[in-house]
Amino acid sequence: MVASRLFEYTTQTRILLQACRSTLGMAIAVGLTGLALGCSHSGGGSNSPEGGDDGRVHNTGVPNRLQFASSVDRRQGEQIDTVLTYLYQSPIPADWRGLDQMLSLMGLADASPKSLQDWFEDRVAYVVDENFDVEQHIKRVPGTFNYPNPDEFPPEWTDAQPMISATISADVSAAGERAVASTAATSKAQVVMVNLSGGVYLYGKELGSLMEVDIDGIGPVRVTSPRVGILKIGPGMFSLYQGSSAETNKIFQASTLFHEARHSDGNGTSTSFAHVICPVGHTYQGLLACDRAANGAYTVGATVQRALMESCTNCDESSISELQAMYLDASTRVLSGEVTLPYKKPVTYDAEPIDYDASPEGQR
Amino acid sequence: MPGAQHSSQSAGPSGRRKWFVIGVAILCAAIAYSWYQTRPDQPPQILSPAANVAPSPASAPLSTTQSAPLVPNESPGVATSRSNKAEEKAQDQAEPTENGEPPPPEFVRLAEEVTVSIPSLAALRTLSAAEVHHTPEALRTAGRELGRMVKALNDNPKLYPYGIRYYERCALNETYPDTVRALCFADARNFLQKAGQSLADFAQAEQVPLRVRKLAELI
Repeated sequence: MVASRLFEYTTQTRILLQACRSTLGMAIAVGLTGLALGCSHSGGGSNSPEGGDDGRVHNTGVPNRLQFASSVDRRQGEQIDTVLTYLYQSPIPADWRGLDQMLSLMGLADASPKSLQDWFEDRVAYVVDENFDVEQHIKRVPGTFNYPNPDEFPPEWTDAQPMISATISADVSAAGERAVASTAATSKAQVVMVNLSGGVYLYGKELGSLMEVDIDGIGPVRVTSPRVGILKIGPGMFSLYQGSSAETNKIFQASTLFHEARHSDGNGTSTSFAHVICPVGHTYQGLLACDRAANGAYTVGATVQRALMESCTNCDESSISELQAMYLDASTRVLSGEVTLPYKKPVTYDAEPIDYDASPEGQR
Repeated sequence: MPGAQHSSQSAGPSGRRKWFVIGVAILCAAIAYSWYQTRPDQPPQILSPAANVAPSPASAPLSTTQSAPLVPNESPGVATSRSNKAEEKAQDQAEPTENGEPPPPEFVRLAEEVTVSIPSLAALRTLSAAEVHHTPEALRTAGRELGRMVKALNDNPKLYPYGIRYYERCALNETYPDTVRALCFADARNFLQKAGQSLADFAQAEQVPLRVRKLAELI
């Protein structure tokens, strides 16, 4: 049964699921995005015209194609408007020194605000709130569905269970113990943002059945591709970074949106650009917070952030320094050279970063 | 007289008590004076520009005997590796230039605030996967605080020697996360250039791990 398989996965990924409130949804999200607790933050925008005070999200900035679940907090939702609008308010100069690299990374012809918005909206279409429980909203569409590359899954997807088991084994390394300890800590963490569609897609692919997610106020959405793009947003961002300038927060939010959008890319073994466990010695050793892909979500988010940072005309020294810290932090997560994973039996491999195939699997 | 007798009988102990009190008072005064000499806020009279600004660039490398900067942040639920806070704090404050001039008190205070904001590597390693999926708040705060120092130096080039020295020590601090060390290394590089110097004047640059130096090249 669909549910039983989901529950099985959910149980085995409990350590990750607890990071966000929705267990199954998070599990799927985690699995899809490479077990990365893709908790980023975001805001929202909508297709609705302005006006009204019905608690639902209404577009207050540039028009966009995003659809919001009726349960999404209006303030959070409208924050996405603000961020997308910021792309237009602070456009990336045509002579920005990192432009060519950015265009190549994201497959863009130009970095105009419209192109960036289109890139994002090609990968994200729906926004649900932090209480959205995929387990309660997912069902199997009767009949069979022909998935592309039916036998190809990301290693992070198939390895997820043994990886987690190894990490939380009773008599393991310090990193393992820390991972166990962190499980409790995650209950306090707030959801910022997570891309759900990759996980749902891979789960359906594993079952050989098309999956459907029923979103409040929108209706059933068939996950025919990770590009269907379902983002789960939470209040994390708004409570965590009150010390930062408005400018810094917008840039960080934009970076986060593009990071999560990247998880809708990839095919076969690169589907969803899954994160990997950070190796021994890394700042985040033992946690699913690194990338093997040179063109993965951390690189995309950092690149967008850097572009906006270096285009920012209102950023003072503190804002720039804070953004530089975020850029460097993201950069440390792209693994290179020989790394050792903190398993019970440590695994060493050459993690020289490589470009994953970013073309999407399936069609929205 | 009973009273006189009483007075006479208590004269001895009273006298001893008096000398004891005087002794304690002297001891307290000595302790207070010692504290006053080492407290963070120096008296206003040493604020005179001539006594506090070092016009010469900071070319003096870090002494190998100097301790690394403070190990920071004591956020709830996060362990820090700070060992002897008071001692390190004092060392941070009394970081003279090569000509022996101490930094201005304003800079000392700023340096303390920046230092306290920097999370230790150990502290970051207590965070959960959810908390580190994107840059932890502690790192963002540290970046922001280091930016305050950048502004202070930009506003007052006479602070370059002190700032550069601070950045050098920060970059060498093994208890700091790579992100902070790289940011400090980059700031040291930038202000050395502004001061008409180069990384060659950062004598211990080679002791900063290659991964940190390469990271710093990204900004």
